[in-house]
Amino acid sequence: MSRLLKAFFYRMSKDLAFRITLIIGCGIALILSVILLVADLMMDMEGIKLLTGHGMLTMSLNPAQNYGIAIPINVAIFVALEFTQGTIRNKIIAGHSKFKIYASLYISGLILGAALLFAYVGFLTIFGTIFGGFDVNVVTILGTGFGAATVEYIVKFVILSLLAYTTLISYAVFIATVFRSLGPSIPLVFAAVYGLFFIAMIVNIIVGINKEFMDGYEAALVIAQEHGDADAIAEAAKEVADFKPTNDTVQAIGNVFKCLNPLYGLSVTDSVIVGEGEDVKAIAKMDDFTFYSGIASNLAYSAAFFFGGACLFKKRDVK
Amino acid sequence: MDLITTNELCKSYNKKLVIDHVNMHIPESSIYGFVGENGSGKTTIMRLLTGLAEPTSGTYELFGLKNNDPRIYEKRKNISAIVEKTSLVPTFTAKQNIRYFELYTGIELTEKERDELLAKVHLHDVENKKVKNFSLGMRQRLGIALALVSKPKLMFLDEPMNGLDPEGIAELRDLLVELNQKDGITVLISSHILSELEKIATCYGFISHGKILEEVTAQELKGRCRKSLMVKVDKLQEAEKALKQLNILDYKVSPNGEIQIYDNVKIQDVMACLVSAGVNISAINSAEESVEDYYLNLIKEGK
Repeated sequence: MSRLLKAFFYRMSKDLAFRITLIIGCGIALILSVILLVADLMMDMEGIKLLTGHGMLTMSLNPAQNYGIAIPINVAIFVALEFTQGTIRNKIIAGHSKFKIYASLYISGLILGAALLFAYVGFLTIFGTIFGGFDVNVVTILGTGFGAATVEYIVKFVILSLLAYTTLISYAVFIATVFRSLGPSIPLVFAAVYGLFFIAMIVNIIVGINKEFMDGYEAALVIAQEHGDADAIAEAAKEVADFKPTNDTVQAIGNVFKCLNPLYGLSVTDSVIVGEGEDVKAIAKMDDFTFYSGIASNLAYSAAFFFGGACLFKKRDVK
Repeated sequence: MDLITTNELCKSYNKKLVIDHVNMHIPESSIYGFVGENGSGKTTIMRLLTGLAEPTSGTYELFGLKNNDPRIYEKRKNISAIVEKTSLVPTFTAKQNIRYFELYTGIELTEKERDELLAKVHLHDVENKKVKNFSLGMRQRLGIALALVSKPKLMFLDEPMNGLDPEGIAELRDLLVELNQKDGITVLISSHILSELEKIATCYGFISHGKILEEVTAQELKGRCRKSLMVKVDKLQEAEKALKQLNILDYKVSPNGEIQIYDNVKIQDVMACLVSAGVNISAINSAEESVEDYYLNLIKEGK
């Protein structure tokens, strides 16, 4: 195994796609940082900052942003090339077991992904922290979405993000092994990442609509009562009375999808409103159910793709 | 002692049997010429023996170990192969490909050894050229260089002469003979250029439609190849009549006026017989059946 990994490091050090993606990642990070810094300096947004350490960290770690998707795609390319160029055949002929070869591809994929991710995320987070600070109480538009954050939220987000990348890389290695070519591997990685985010949004609407609807009209009712606006009170009261909550079965199905979607916790930023008057602000939060179900589903998917891919690779002939 | 033996080896693709109960015996330190038509199953057998494909049924032994013995992985380190295509990284140079190969095979060559290896296959002057810009022949040469990196005891070479120029073919031939005779390397080689195979093979396996027709040593084959007398004449019908009078029955007539006589006859008797029948002889010479003729006859008999 160590020989296979040594060979991987050698190949990675000479790989053009890896170098290009790394340069693009650092380039995007630099340009974005400079633009946000200039925007912060030129515009007065009443306490809201664009460039902050925590904002950059949560924004750049998100797998559905453009650079994030380049990571599993790069891994899929790297693995698929082993098949198309036939170098995997040499490794089998040289006496490496198929399980060891698959495991080495998997570990190589994770290392490759980590190198690409940390170059980009590290650059943006360090730049953001230097020029905007890492104070989680600072409200930012990017990353945590019109709000501040808590250290707990940041920790949960980072853990879920890293696990989500592990899942996506496991999937990329699996898909490249199944198809053994670049052609279908790239679109299937695209489809999986964006598909999961799209599903997460739909599920969020289904699961969250009852609570959001009721919260909104109940808040409107309170305000109307405070102001003594009879028409507004009547309208809000009517809406609350007429509201038909989503069917329990739909809610239950939505919750199942929420647990099954490994990217759910990263796709939807929930927040709580704190403070009053001018001090009011939103703070990003992630409930324990979303966090732990995210951990469980990511671990389950990663394991399934790893062992599924290894079994498939062992069973099939190598072309 | 046999380095490779197969026992009722079978391989099916989509329920179609492409390797049909093959029993092969490849002696140690031999150059085993694997002869068969396109699609006869030569490559599939090499893929099975190198671990690239799994048998549907049957077994094989490599270095005395069965294919399902876990210790076989260790033994496979003594194998190198070029099966179907040379497996190279196109964005690497020749030396980088060698280095990459070294790393996953756990072999450490010195810079000098790498240079010597490339010189051996005449690729010493392509220092910074990437493999994607190599010609087919150059790729083939580099594939052969990679096959030699691990100083193997057993080499599988599937059509290694494809893409090589006549000089390259001769050099490869000499190299294989040298490796076989000096280092005792066993070589399983398939080639459509049977005249080249004939010059190096010490034994043969003839295969057709997934079945081994025969395994013979080069010496046995030499004994079995029929000797013939070729006569070129102007009047074919008269010549045939005259040969029958001489009790010659085993012969083959070609429309261009050539008669191939397989019966054991004296050249003088044939000449006298034909001249007396008024047949003009424009050429006459004795010949020996080639491996190709022998294989074609085997197939014909098999049908």
